[in-house]
Amino acid sequence: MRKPIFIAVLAVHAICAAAQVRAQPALEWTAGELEILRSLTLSSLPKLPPDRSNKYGDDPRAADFGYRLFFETRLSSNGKVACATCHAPERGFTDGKNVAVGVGRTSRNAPTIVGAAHNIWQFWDGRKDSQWSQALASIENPLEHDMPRDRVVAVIRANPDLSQEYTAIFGALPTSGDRDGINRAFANIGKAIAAYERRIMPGPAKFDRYVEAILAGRKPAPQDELTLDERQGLHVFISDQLGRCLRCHSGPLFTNKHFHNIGVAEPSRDDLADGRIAGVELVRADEFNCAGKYSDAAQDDCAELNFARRSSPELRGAFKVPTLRNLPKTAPYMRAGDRRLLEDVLWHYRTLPNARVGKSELNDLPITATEFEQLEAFLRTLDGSIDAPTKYLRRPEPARLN
Amino acid sequence: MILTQHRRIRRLKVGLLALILMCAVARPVPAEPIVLRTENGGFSVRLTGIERPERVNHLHGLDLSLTTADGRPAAGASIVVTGQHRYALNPLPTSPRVQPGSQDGAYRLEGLRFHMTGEWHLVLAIEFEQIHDRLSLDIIVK
Repeated sequence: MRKPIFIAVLAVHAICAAAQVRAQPALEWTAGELEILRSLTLSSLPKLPPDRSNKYGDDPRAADFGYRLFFETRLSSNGKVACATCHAPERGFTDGKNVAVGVGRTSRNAPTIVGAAHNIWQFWDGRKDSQWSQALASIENPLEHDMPRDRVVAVIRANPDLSQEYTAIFGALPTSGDRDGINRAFANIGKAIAAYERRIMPGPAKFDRYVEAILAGRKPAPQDELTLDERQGLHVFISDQLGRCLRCHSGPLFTNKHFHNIGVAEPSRDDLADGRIAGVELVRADEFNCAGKYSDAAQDDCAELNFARRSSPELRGAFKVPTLRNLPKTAPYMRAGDRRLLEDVLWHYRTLPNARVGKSELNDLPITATEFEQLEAFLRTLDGSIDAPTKYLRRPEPARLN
Repeated sequence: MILTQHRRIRRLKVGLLALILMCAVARPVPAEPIVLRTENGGFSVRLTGIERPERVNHLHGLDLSLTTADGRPAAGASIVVTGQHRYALNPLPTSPRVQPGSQDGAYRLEGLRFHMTGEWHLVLAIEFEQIHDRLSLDIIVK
């Protein structure tokens, strides 16, 4: 009597196991899908090209000096704000706040600087075309560091450690009345900060290890194997019939580096709400842009600036596509920081709010609620380490700052 | 010993074949120059530099050679470039410009970038000696 029951239990177990196998999507990706997956891994990230506008960009001494300046609170009017205040290494170089708070409260979420050296444009509206000119804008912004350039140079001059390090790299500091010299020294300070920031890159995530294993024809290590939901989410992500995510989130940094209007509401109407249509004019007029007198680039090196699209309706209310790497570390999300969780971000793509400025590009996606959850599961596999010299991920010893 | 050598040679051949196949899959192939007629037959356009597929997010340029229907080089033409993603309907993220080249009827198109994967529709609006015509191209971007 016991034997038939045992056999029946075994049979049910076997049927359930078989059903589970059938429910799994094919482990094999198509050749076209594999090509896409390869394009998304960090091994496809090209070597960072030199920043022609910053001849100190790859100078290790400038990077060390920039590292120090990045954490330096004396470059702020209240002595409390550093670049690292909003770009904290332990938070994936963000701050965990809705909007960046420096000397005052800004209207924008602080984006990560991890991998940002690969960006063509800086800030959400791309009003800067280099990391060094971006750093300068934040230092002078009354809501961020609130530090005019002449006072920044005065701080460097007044501190022997800082001034010695500065002069060893850039030469003598200007006198206080030398307006052009102060501009140049200020630009040099930005260039040193950028030299540090260029070394902060994303490290491999579970997604990269999974794809590299399957491209090499081997089974991923157990900890790198994507779950069924993660694989389904990845499938939705790369499919142009389903998620269409690749249209904007392409390449190893999961961004096409350009500007799109997706109907993210502004927390308040501000002078930056017009997005790229205003940002492109600001970057063209910027004294610290690639073509400016404080840039080290030749005119031919400034193609991005020269060919930047202007005055086109789709640029109104359009903002830069952020990277999707390290998402779990960089909440809250979107440029206003009003999406606390990843599921809140995906809800935006389900509800498709109208844009308050310009016209949203988003359309209804033919994907189910479950597939949205699977998308979220996949996005979490992009959480990885940060690839940078170890010392650059720690705050400098306080003694070094004084 | 002979068997081992044969195996080595076979492995080498297989390895080389795999390498060639990998390169063929991974790298865009620079196409041969293509010659196309404009929509109303007003011009013949020789285009050099279009890759198949085009690489996404790569700022680059193309060489153009423009001749009239009766075979004359069209020097001094105005050429305006526009483009649109076929499904997302986004325009090009840059404003490409066409400058005259070193020879009569030769031009250099600079500042072309496709920032989204998929199918793009590129249009060259040409004006020369009061002839207005268009060249339309469908481009796959990966």
